[in-house]
Amino acid sequence: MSSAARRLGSAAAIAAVAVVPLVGLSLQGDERRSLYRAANLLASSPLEALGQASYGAGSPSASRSLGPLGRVAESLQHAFAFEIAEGMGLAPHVVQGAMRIAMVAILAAAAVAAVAAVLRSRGAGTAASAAALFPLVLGASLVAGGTAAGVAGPPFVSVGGAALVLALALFVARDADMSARTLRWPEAAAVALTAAAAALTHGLVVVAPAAAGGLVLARAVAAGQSSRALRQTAAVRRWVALTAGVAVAVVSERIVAAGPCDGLVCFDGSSLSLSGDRAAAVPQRLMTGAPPAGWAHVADLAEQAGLRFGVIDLVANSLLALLVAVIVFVGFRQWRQACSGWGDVAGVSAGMRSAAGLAVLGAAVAVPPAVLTALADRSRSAGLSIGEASADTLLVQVGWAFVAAAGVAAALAAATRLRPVLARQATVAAVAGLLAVAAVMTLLANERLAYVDRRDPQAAVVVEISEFTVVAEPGSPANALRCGLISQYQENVPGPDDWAAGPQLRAELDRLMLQRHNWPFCTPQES
Amino acid sequence: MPALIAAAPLTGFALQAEERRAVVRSAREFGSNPAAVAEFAVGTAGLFLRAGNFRPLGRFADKAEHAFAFEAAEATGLSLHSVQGGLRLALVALLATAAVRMVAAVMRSAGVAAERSGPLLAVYSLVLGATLVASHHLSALSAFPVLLLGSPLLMLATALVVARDADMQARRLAWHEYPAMALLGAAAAMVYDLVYLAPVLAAVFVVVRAAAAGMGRRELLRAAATRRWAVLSSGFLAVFLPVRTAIAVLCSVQHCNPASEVLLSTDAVSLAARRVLTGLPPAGWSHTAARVSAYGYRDGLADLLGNWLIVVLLAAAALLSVRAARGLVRSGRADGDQRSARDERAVDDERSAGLRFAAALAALGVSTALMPAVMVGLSKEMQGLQLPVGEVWRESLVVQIGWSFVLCSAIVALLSLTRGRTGVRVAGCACAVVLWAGLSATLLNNYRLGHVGRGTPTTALVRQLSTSVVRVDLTSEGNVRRCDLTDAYGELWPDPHGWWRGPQLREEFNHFMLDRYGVLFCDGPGTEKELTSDPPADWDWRPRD
Repeated sequence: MSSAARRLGSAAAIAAVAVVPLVGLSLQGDERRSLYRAANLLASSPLEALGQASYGAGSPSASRSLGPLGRVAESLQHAFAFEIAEGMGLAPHVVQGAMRIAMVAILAAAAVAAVAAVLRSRGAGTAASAAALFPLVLGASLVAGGTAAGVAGPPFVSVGGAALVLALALFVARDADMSARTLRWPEAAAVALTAAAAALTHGLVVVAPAAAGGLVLARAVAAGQSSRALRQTAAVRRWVALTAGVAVAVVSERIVAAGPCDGLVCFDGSSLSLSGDRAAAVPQRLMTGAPPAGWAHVADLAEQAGLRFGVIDLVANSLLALLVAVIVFVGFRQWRQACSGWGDVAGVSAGMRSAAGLAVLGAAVAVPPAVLTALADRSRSAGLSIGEASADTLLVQVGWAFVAAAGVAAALAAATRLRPVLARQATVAAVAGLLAVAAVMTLLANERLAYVDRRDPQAAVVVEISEFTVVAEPGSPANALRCGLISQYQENVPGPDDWAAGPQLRAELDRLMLQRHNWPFCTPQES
Repeated sequence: MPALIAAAPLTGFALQAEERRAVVRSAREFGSNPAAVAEFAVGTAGLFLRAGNFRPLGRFADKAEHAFAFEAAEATGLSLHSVQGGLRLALVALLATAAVRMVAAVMRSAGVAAERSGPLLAVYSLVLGATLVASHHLSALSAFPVLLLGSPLLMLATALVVARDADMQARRLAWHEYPAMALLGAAAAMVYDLVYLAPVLAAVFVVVRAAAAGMGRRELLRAAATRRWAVLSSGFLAVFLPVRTAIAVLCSVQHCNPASEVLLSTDAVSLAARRVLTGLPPAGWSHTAARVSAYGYRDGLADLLGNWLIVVLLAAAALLSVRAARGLVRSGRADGDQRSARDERAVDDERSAGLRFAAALAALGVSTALMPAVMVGLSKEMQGLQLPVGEVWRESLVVQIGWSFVLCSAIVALLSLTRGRTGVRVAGCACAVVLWAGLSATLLNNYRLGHVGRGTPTTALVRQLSTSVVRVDLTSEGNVRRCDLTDAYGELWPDPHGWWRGPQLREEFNHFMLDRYGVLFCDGPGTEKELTSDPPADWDWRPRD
């Protein structure tokens, strides 16, 4: 196996390990209803369903800043998740949990590819060592700071949106594009169209030009390119095409959306306003992406729920202890790989350039989503605190991971001067150890959040309903249990304002079961 | 991959029979402490010996897996059956890997050309997938993963370890090979009755590899594999003989587990024949079809297309079949193209290598299928059960693997005897169609069983119980729901004497919740009375013993 493939595998493994506790998380927010609705609609009238999804009619997905393509993709994914659940006999939330791990692995692969691209720009030195340790950095950054966090929310669009931003950046700044060449119009059109299509999937993709620009600049900084040479590269021209594509798509969508929203209450996540307190919220949103803020916030959440779950509890559970062992093992392996990929003293300045490049990339990925969220009306009304994750946080976390990788690269470059070799190895071991501890802390935080969810009575009802949706048992005991569950849910979420409120969910579930088994989810029985 | 395709529809199968209680009990008794499990396994060995069986290692693995499954469910919030399903898929993947490696080893011994081995192994994987038919809710693909999948896996792994490529040559054993093989043999005698066949299977594997390689008897006797097997068998017998002698003596004066009693009669022969036939896929398909009809389900082939996942799995199976067929045709065409440049003798050598491989694989398959069937045939209890053809039992997975070897050998023989480019192409296409059809039929079979398995009143309740014990809602509403569940389950299974019946299950869950959370699983009328006594010390008194 090549070192690149090994690095991808390690990154995917550590990232997946960090989110394993979230695999059984209950369905969150609108997903409680939209998953069943998508399964219903797609089974009965697929074309109508796709049309509805793309216009957002009767769907809450517009309120999650999804574009028409994103809504269609999410509907298809929801419908397919339910079909997988039925085919395998698993509850739909379990399938979504598996999807979460798969999407996080894809995100990790994209992030590793971005770091490798920056470090590749300048050849040897401590690049291989820094790259070897990145999987641990990334694993440590994936903290689920609440159920609204990217890694805890609807996995396909939340994690997929962040992965798409990185994929677009990688698409713009390929190796061959970092040299001077003219851009032919078909290539420019392809980039612009891809960007426009991507911008119609998720509101977060609006930051793709910043991320792509950051990657181009980072590669140029790492390679020591002059500004003149940079301007002549194909990557810059591709970036212009990308920005144009995103701009056209976003402006068009806003114009289309302005009509229906005129005079109505529309999604406040897209509505931005500038004021002093909003500007002050930017550092808060930025800080939220830093792992310690996430760890502290989740610890608070657990405490508020009256739960005590410490490091000892982490290793007292055999699966979690196994996951900790995996982190330690991968950390050890990456340390050995980092030691073997050491450069010479001549590479110190090149190493520092790489670190600078990674810092630029990190800033370009972390700052724009934080700014966007801070300026949104919605975040003001939500009153998000530091550490409390929102939809943007995953991208901010990835940005922080790049910044932390820059710190690691700088530390390793500085350590190149150390003599004897043992001192260098000790430095790498210290860095790897620190990162492994951080990854374990993130595992602990995610387990705490999962623990809070497991002890939440409302989540228990949602999960039990989810289990019942794939069971074709019309008998009276099962029916009575289903009716009890949906009544409990209706009591908990009675409000007509909630899209996934009790009456609506009950109607959706009845439709689902009638369509599939010819009997409703709950047949009222006379007592 | 094909094995996972076949097993996928059974991933979420509800916990069956004793599993419903044993998983929770193991979690309560042992938690994440393997030493406690080991202590239990050793401590109860005498008790079980007096009852007619001796398998401390198997019991250790079983309990450790149950405790781990519960802890994994607690850590992730998944229901118990979801975790068991995940473990089951992992074990199926390992088992398929072991079976493919056995076929590859025989292939190497027979000297099959390297360019043909890839396509032939792809064909074998498809055959194996098609044979993994679950025709009963207690099949290896739907219940007791460690016991029913782990035992066959251990048997195959033992054979692979004994006869590695380097061991098929004459050499002396290194010092560390003696204790390693002896311990492996001793371990095989302490896992599960089915694993008693591990040394026999290993012997067959050594002989088959030697025969495929054209080794003489003298060479075979000098091979390291023979010596390794001899040491393995010594280790096995060192445990097996005293244990079985002790059981025979004890059971001659007291009542023992009837599954351990051997009865030689004419019924044994017919039962063995029925058990062999049960491993053949069509027998399982027809048995499941009848069973599903009895439940009132009318799922047909068209229903396969009603689920997107199944459509994707069918497409994946088709893709794998086409790839295997293309590989076969290409490697066959290479022979034809090169024939002008090579002498006829070389071509004949390759054909005879193929036939040698087919014959060796057939011999391995027949032995693998017959041994467990004969073992079950001799069981007095099984003779009394009169299981119909097609209904799987504990040994069926090994029989199915044996059939997969036999069926694959028939395909290899057919391909080796096929001459000419057109003939190879027709044979390759026919193979692809037959393999895809076989795998699709098994997929439909397992999908139907999974569908029925989820739709019974009991499984609907058990699934919810498996969720409620992990996702603990400590509110009074949560308690009411849990009581409703245990009450409904108790009505379905009111027998107060069964190990996993309603009253026992409720008591077990109550004890567990008291230990873990300080509250009862169901804090309702009558609970206080139930909990006045300690839980019964009836560990592992299971029908499967």
